[in-house]
Amino acid sequence: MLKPATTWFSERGWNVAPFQRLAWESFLAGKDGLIHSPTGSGKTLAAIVGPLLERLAEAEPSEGTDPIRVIWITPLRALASDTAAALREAVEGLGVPFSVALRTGDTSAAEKTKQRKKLPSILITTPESLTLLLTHHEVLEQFKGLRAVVCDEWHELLGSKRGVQTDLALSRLRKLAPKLRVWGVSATLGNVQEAAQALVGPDRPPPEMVRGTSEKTIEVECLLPEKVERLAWSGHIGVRLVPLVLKRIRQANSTIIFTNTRAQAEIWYRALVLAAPDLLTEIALHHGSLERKLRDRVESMLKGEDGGLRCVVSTSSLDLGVDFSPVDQVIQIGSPKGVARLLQRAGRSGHQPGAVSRILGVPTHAMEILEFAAARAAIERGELESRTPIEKPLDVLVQHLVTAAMADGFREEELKAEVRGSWSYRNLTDHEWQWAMQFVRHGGDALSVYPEFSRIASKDERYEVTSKLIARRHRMNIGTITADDAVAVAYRTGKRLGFIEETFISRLRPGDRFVFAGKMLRFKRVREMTAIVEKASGTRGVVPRWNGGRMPLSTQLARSVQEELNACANGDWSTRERQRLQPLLELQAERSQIPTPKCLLLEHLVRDRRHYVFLFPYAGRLAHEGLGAVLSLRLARKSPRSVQAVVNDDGIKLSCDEPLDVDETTWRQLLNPENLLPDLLESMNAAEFSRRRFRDIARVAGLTQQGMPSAKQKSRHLQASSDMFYDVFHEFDPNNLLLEQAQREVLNEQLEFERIQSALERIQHQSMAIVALEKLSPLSFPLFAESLRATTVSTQTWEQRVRRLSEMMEHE
Amino acid sequence: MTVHIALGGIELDLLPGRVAYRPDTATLFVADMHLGKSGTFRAHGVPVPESSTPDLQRLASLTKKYDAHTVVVLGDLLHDRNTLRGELGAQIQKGLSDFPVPVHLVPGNHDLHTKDLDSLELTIAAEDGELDGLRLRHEPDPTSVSPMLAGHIHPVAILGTRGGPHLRTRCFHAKHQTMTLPAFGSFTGGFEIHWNDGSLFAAGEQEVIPLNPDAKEMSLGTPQDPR
Repeated sequence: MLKPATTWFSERGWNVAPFQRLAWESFLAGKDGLIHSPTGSGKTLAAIVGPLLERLAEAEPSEGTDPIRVIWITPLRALASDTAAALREAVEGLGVPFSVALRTGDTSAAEKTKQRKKLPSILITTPESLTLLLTHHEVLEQFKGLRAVVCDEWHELLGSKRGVQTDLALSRLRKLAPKLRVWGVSATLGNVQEAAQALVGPDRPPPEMVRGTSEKTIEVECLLPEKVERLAWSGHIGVRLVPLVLKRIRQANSTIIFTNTRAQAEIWYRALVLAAPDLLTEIALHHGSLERKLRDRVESMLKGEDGGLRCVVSTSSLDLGVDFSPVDQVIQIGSPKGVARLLQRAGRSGHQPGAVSRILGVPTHAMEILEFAAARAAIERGELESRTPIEKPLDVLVQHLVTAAMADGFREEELKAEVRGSWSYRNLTDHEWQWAMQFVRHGGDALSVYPEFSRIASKDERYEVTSKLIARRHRMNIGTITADDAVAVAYRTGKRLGFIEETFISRLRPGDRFVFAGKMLRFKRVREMTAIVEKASGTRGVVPRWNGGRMPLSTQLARSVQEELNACANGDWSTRERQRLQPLLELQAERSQIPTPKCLLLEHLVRDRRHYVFLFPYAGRLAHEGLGAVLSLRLARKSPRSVQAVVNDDGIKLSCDEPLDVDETTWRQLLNPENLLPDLLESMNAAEFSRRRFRDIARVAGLTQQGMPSAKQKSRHLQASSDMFYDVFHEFDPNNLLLEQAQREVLNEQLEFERIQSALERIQHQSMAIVALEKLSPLSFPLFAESLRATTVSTQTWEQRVRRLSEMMEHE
Repeated sequence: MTVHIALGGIELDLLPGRVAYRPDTATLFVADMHLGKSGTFRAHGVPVPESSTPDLQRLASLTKKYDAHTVVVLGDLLHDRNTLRGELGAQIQKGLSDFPVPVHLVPGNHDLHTKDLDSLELTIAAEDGELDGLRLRHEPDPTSVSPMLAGHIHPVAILGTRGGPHLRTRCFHAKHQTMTLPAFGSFTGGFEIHWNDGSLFAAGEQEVIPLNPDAKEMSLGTPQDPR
């Protein structure tokens, strides 16, 4: 049965890789599967050829092209057209009577209508467009003949609400199409088994695991500065390395520079072109806030058009979704943050089989030297991060219930079973199900039935959407991607440069200069959600900070950093990175000691009558933030005092004007995992976090409307912000499960509750070293110097907060 | 604490619960209730718990608490032109006919289009009228030369300094001769008033707090207990 494929491959001069053969055979044998490999190619053909071979084996004559057989789900629209070209090549190469077409948010309405009557044999689409298709009756009929769904870049969807949305759609398709097999294509993760099962739901046998060949060697090099100063290493030393980075750029034909944040990308782009004006036309900037047109241009230049580019400075906006030939070298500015992430970025260089993927790390402070070494060690040991699927988010379920009611309607018991057949909702309780049903039927729980409300209602035991208006609103609102309110940045001529968060713009005064899109701009005014700017000269201007740019160090990488420190503590200075850090770490050992996985280090110091405690749990920045707040609260409870916490990826600084306890017995109590949850909720002002989180939930659950400014104008009497919903639910429907979900999401994602919990449990088994510092140690110094972003534990009432904040404003 | 001020010689108390009280005539002022708004949303398939009837009850209990003899609504009593024709309309009608004291409505932009407005048990006042020397209007008139109470704006203040925590709160806003009341309705949004723009008073559930220096200067101290 594989013959047509092997023939086609040999005609092209290719070899069939063993993993491709395994994938095809497994598909033909009726199995689901997951194709995963850290880097490398051939995964697309591994996934698509099986369904093509199956069709060829049927040998039925065809009139024109076949009805729909395959859905190819891609997380990004930008990927779709490149994928289509690759699939068409295979379809034509094998001579299968298949048509291939895209359906994404960019597809025209006329084309969409035409497609619905007869879908292409292979449909390439996004999770959102697929869900929208499920609301059309004529489409559901056609889906009955589906043989395969392929989820491309599954690791990108897994762990997000888009992944959950895909889960639900897949569960629906499995029920409609008895011959359906679901396949995923993914980068390697720490939890590939779970990732595979999430594709097919809890009721199907485990999918075939197909490990792609990784023919590439990965080399991680860290750019070492000439001299490592022993203490003055807290700030942005990175830009000092610009000359060294420029040297590397000039040595190669093509380079991608990855940064961790958009602000960092802007800063580096400016620094590079200022230092090397001759490269101005050969260096470009790419990040998610830039105008689509500007990004498209950079992407096509990356593919070699318009004379090509020598270097692109980019955020994760180029991590996936943009298919271009591999570059000569990849440079990572600042902490790698995660092992898998660094691996994926490295994979952007040297795509040819047998080639070496090289990534050059540029540390922006001393400890990052160790992080690159740690990432390399973790790659060698194969320790990659996991992506955990989201557990049963009710906002997505509420949206799905309306979707399911739209095309043919549903019977409650059938749909419940179907929903539980998706991985995310496998543990959905009856109570949660009923609540979601009540929410779409009556707007709340059974006790408060509102007669004028219903999104769906039952007719002959089938639930259907009650009105055309609701159906239209729902179609406009499908999806789980939410964006912050953004202000467009444009010249007076109307030429748009991109988008910046409103909070940044609102702090600018007319005439202020800021850096955006690699340019120095002067802010003029805001007009209808557009910030009008003009070009400015000079070198000093503010760089916008976008929210959410600060990722924590992953658990795997943090553990590996501790291993590195352990080796250093044992006198193993065998790598270049450790050698460069030797003076610094020896000073750490001299003034205090080097923290190791077996021993928790606590340093304390009194300086200018203020008391400081430094603690190094290595749990990542977010978990440190939560832990710092809990410890401040517990300390403040022991005796009345105001404790402030500051964190980084290495540790926590606690400071206070009153003495802080420094004995082990007290600290063992303070670090007890018991009562962590209530203490965390109390200390982190969790209500404010939930309120912000609720914004996204309100959108997904269909409370607020997304986008469409013109539609907004028309329905003024239907305008409400998520804040208003939050308040009114809080006051009149406090048991609303969407509120609970907001809190759960804050705990899991924003505060990394489980990571704090496991850090505290780990600490229980560690010994403690308590060191009184005479002088600051190299590890405590960056924490000591950092005073911004402090969390002060607040247990104040509304009245106290209003008074304090208005006093602060008066003094500013 | 509540705040006691004088607006062009007329004494007023700014009270917790988002209402103002005039002691010499025992009148309670309230603005922008937007009754029926939650119902409008529900009718369009957006689930919002019921807040209109509880709001009306809350106003009734404030009326009793401060022993007011009259209530004046400074516009936008109702949210949607069809509010009174919906299921909720009957409850609102009943709530108003059971109301303990006479209610006067200075009609706002939302009220003017409401169908069956005359079915409500209340007195409809002039759109720009005067009561015992106090000018009453839904939309504030910044050029007013006589003391004036208004609504419409839904003023809020945003507290906090750059980079630090922020807090958004409904507020009373006084400038020149005009005092704009915070929106009374639970399910209403707000319009940010700049920190230096006149006097701002945070409108809490337990307290009213003068926010900026102008507001502190305007406050005459704690009023006599109106009860």
